[in-house]
Amino acid sequence: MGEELDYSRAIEIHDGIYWLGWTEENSAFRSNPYLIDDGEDVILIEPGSVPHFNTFYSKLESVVEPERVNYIFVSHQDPDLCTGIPLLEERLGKTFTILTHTRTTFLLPFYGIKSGYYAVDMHGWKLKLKSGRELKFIFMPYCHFPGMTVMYDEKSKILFSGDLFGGLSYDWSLYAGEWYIEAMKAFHEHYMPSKEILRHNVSKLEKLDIAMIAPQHGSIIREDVQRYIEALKNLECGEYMLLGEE
Amino acid sequence: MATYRDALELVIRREFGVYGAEKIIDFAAKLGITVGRNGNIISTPPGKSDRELLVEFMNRLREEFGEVSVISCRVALNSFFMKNNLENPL
Repeated sequence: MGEELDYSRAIEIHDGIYWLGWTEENSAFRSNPYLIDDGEDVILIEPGSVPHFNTFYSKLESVVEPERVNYIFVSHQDPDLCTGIPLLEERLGKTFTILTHTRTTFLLPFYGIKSGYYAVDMHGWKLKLKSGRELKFIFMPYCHFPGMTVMYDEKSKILFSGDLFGGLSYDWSLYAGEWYIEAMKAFHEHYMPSKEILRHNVSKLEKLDIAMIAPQHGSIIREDVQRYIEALKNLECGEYMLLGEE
Repeated sequence: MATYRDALELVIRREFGVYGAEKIIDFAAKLGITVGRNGNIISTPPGKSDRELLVEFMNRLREEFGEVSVISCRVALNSFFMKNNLENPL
């Protein structure tokens, strides 16, 4: 808390793991691309959208030679997290292997993405990198897409959680502050379909040793991780809660 | 027993997360509501019920901060009213 961070630059959140996002004064809904540099393998995590591509790219090339990127992970196919992929393919003149669920592979080509896929559900929900480092994938169906999948890096113990644990806030900081749990609830109450579905999925995370949660929106959770998990497990959510209000 | 004051505190804490505590404390002060750093209501203006204050707070919130401020707590409020068998005045 209280540390001064320069958001105009890439920020190393763990050894070899970087935040490549951006800030916007008047947006409650920022995106957080990340990168894992594992030597022979370089994994981009949800690289973002068209309007922010140049900002993202300048941060990317500040931490690695972009040509070294060989994998891209996407939790689902919302445009804010992956419409920049065709621009990256074009800029680098290469394709990647996209790590995602089979259901997401059906939709990503509609953005003009040419890269191939590694459907994590067809490969035992894991990927072993050349270094031996293992990435695990956890299925979170209907949170909020049927194929929603999050990624856990065993080495850093970071959970790259996609929309889960994301927040809606104009009072943004890279690391979750005192009231982030409220920003997180504000987002999940509308995006997640029901308490039962959210609780069922979030409970799967209790088997993991999580040091940090890095969501695609909002702030990174690096303290009291269990408190945030509990908050989502017990959250009353779903737009259906508003039925009868109109 | 849950009250409309509890509902108002729920909204205040939610907006702390969305807009930051400082902005919401200042906003509440304009309505004569004194709010503590943990989102608790310390005092309210005389002559208004908590239910009236909640309605006024939500209306003014929308005017000053826009629709996101209302959307960000609609489900929570709805759930709160249902769970506590309170009429939704909004």
